[in-house]
Amino acid sequence: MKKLQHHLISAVLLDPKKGLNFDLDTWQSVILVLREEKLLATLYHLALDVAVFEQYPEFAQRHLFSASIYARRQSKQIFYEALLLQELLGKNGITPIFLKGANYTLRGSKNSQGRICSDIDVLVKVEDLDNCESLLLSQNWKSEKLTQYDERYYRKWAHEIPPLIHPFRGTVLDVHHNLYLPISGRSPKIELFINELEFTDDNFAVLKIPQTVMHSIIHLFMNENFSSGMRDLFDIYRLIKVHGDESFWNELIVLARQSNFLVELQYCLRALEIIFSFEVPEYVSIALNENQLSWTQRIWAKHIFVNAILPQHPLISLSRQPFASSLAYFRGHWVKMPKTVLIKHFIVKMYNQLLDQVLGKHQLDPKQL
Amino acid sequence: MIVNTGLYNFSLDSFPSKLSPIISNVYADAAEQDRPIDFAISLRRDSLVRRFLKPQITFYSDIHAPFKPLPLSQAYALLEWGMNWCIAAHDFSRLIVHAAVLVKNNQAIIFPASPGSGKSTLTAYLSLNGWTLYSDEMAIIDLDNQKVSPLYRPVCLKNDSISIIKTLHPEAQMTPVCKDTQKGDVSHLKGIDWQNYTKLEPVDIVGIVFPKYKKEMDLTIYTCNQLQAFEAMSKHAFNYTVLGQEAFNVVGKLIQKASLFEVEYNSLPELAEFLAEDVIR
Repeated sequence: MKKLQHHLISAVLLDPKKGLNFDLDTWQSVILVLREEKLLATLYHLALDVAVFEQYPEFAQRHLFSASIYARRQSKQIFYEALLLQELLGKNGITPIFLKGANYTLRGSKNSQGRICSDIDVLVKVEDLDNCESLLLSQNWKSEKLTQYDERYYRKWAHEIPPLIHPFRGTVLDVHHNLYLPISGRSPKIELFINELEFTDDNFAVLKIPQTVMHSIIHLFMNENFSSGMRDLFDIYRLIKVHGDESFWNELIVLARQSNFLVELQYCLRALEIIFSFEVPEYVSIALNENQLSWTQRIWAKHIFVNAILPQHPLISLSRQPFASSLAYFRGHWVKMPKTVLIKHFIVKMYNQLLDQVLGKHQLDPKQL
Repeated sequence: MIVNTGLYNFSLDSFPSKLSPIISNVYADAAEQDRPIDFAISLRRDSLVRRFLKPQITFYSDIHAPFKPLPLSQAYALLEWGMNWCIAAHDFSRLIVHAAVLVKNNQAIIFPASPGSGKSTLTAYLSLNGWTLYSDEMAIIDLDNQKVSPLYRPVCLKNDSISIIKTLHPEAQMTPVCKDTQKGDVSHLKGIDWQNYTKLEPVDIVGIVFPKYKKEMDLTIYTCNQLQAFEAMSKHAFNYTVLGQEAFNVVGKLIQKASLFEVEYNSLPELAEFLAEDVIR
């Protein structure tokens, strides 16, 4: 099968007209890569918007269209679940604040068209957390069976409770009380993000745009898993393209400074420049001037994150990628926990992975309900 | 290796070499057409120790493994199920119903059924007795004209039905038996060859028949009302909830056009006669 240059994927997302020059061999590989990156249905909407979809080969149209139907269903499901959550929690004086994919979908931002989410993320105030969880459990939401270790990870260290699953509808719900793990010492003051909220046309609470973008940056650059990295970075790119006026940038920079994620903001800007040829406004560069990245951070920005974010697919040829992804994986853990906790965490993880390698996967799954 | 199932083209990139003759047996005559791949799949052995001790096999759809590994002996059955999964999890441009499809005089009967209803035995029997096999597992139905398309796939026979078909039709082309799968013993029957497959066209569905094999029961035919049929069809459609309104409309049109029956039977020839004379128009 034909190998692709990674530029080709970003190129067709930025300008769907590029697809008109693809031969079928190229389309075949593009479809496989976009499917794994959860971007197939996104390209469907992008191509429709610039009226080139109908000119794509029938093969490409079929796969893009099919993916868009699935995404349409997900979007409906998000509205439905959000309505039920709003009703259930609202009655009890709790306002669920929708994050990430649900935020994009409920606010109807351009990047939500064709977006596929694996779960719904909501944030509630930490003092409402227990009440919220028991309300959800009373409505048939179930906690997945976890190993004792994972259960403790969530309850003691994480910024969210273990994922809840609705057995009839198959929806997965992550309930957060912060945007980042408290154990890391880096979880932001949540008031910076939720003191002012935005309400969508249907009256769902979502983070304001600068807060939304900042959260997406934290989520992408303070994590170990970059498997949907391209999609997540493209979300940020498109939000900035639509909303990125001067007041947006000022708010974003202030927020990054106050929440102590200035470095991550700059990592993100570098990645946007390199992957999506984004032009950072001059006043933004000037504002960030006194907080320039160190030389090691510049290497991380240019070589490690970018390679980890680009599609991790055998059809994309990138020489440094496995190395970059492992480094990014280690850093993702490194920033999450104090070192003594981290070492314990790694020992458990490595032991489990080793067992998987030796004995085959799923030996350690908790017993099914 | 290319596994061409007619509507969907798979590239099978790695698999245990032992499977080669079985796959060839079923799919080799489907000429490698010059058309793009819809799904990249592979069957891989992940674990080191498990290469020697109770060996396992994992199905990959591109770079993801949608299910848990199975014992190596079930590799071929896993391949067929994996391909079913790829289709059901990705094609939302048509209604896909868990049903067998058999055709006579360019008219299709679809048999939506739960496991253990004898659907595949019936499918194998009909395909060996003058009916054209369109599909054993999936009815692929067009959203605009409600016609059903053929798939180039074998019939998945389980347990006793393997020997039943072998006894009735010693000439039938069947894969070696996979023992002790989740579904019991499994063997796949090639129900049509590529040359004949390429002549097939999408056809109208004239009957929806819910079969139920009952050892002690002579052929008993119940007509279904449209509501029952609607409920059963929507339950058996893999992508019903994803398609939503479109699926509702298609199922609605189908149940109004087709004759609807529930049948209990213990004799394949008797049932075949009923289908040919009273359902096919």
